[in-house]
Amino acid sequence: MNAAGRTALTRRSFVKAAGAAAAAPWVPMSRQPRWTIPPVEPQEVPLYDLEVWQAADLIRRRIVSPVELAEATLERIAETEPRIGTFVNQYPADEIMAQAEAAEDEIAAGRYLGPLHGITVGLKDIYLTEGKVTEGNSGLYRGFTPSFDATSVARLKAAGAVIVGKVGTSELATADQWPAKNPWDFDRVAGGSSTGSATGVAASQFMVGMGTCTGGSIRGPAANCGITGLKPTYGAISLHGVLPLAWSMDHPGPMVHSARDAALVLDAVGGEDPLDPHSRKVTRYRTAEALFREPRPNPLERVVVGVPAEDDFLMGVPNDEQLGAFGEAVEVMRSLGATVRTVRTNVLFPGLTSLSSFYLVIRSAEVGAYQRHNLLTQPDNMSEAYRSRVASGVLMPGHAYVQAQRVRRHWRDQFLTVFDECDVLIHPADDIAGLVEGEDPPRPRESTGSKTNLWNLSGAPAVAIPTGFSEVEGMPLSMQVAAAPGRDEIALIVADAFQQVTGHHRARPAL
Amino acid sequence: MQTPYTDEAALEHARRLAEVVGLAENQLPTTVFADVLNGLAECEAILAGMPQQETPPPITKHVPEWLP
Repeated sequence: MNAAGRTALTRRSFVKAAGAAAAAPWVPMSRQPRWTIPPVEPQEVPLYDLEVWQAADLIRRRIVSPVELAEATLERIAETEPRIGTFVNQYPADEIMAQAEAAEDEIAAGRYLGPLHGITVGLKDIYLTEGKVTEGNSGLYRGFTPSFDATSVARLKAAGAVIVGKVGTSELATADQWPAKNPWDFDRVAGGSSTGSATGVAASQFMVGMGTCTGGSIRGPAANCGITGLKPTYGAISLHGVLPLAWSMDHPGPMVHSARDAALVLDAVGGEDPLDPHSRKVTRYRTAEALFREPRPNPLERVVVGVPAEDDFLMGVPNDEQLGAFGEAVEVMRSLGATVRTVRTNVLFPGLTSLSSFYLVIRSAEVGAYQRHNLLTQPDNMSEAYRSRVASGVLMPGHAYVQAQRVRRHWRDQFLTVFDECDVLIHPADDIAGLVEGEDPPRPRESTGSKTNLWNLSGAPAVAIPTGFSEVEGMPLSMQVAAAPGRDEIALIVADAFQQVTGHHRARPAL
Repeated sequence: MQTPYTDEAALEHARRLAEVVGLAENQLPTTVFADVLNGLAECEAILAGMPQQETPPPITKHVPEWLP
């Protein structure tokens, strides 16, 4: 399934490098190492196709340099970007190389900053970037050049990441779509709103795509494009410097190839931020450590994996292949030693026909509050779809927002009781990527509704991971692994255990 | 429960409210507003169906208060 790519690194030198990497464990930069990454297995893949943790191992031990990775990345972007359309603003090659050279110099001087040092990153164009235009695909922000970095961007830079550019988003993370192509099938949508973050990772144009998610904008495109997308617990990653859609449901998060990579990014950018009053009072996340422990025969022993009952809301997906792949995933969980328990979720209750009933009221009220002035002064710089969201919020009376937040609490407190019965809840993605032109083939059943926004409304962490490929349509399949708020680590542990024995996440589109 | 709003009925409703909040015709919602109004009606009905003293307060922290 891997594309036969070409990089500046010769095939022989890479195989040699990977072989050397297999000889010793990875030890992080701590003076007193607490954990190790298992050795990278030799494999013949281009540098840009590596997972973050693999590249980090090679960079830390100076087997591969950040400059080599940046060169391979630039070549890959040049080769694929005309067909994919990920970028809004790809940074100039000399700027990218300067970042990589700085990383290389630091490492050579013995100042290795951690697993993101020298790793390539693309930023959704709603992350504010100092001195770099940030438009959010909106006429409201045409030419806007922030004077500071979003906290997460600053933390990525401090971790030594190499930022390769700003990537496409739906208009301010909600309305008019960004037209990037799905790397698995150019006739399919990539999904939004973190469109470029997904296509860039899937096409190996960078290793980390920073996305944001208010109702599914990380996990939806991740599922469509066959990659891994983490929406962490609400407040885990600072919202400071991210153009808001709806503060109480907005979540920044990484889009990567694997759960291991997601954990490394969460550890690097997550944690309390005095500039974001909603950020959790966690000084520093350390989720990756648990994923790199010595492999055990039954890694999920003593983990209870909840699987929705057959007639549960979360199983109401229209695609049979999603359900088939999910059934196989459940068996994989069992084989890893997990206790699989059938659970029933309270996604809907009598009188509540859809989560949209309060989701839309809350979203409209919050975006209406943020954009009211712009609605009054420059409505023509909003698309009709975006203007409608804002105006709906402006027109609603104040008590409407409070009523919706009351129902949200009532719902949330019932819904999260599912985690009294299990450590993680897994469920299939709703469908596969649709056709750009619409008119998808008919499905055997209707969807019961969004399978993503419930995790935004509850604030609980959820990670989307690939589960295989549709034989009928040749597109990636996916599921989510969710846990109670604050338990990001267990969700990532389960996702990682699954990925280590299945390998669906290693597939790359032939471009 | 009242008859659900259609997009057309929601737009008419928006026009009436617009006079109060000072929105012009090119600032009105042409999509979504019906879903928002219908969602609000459903929220109101859910709350009205509970004994008032047992109705929940709004969320003020966006992760549960019991989170460690």
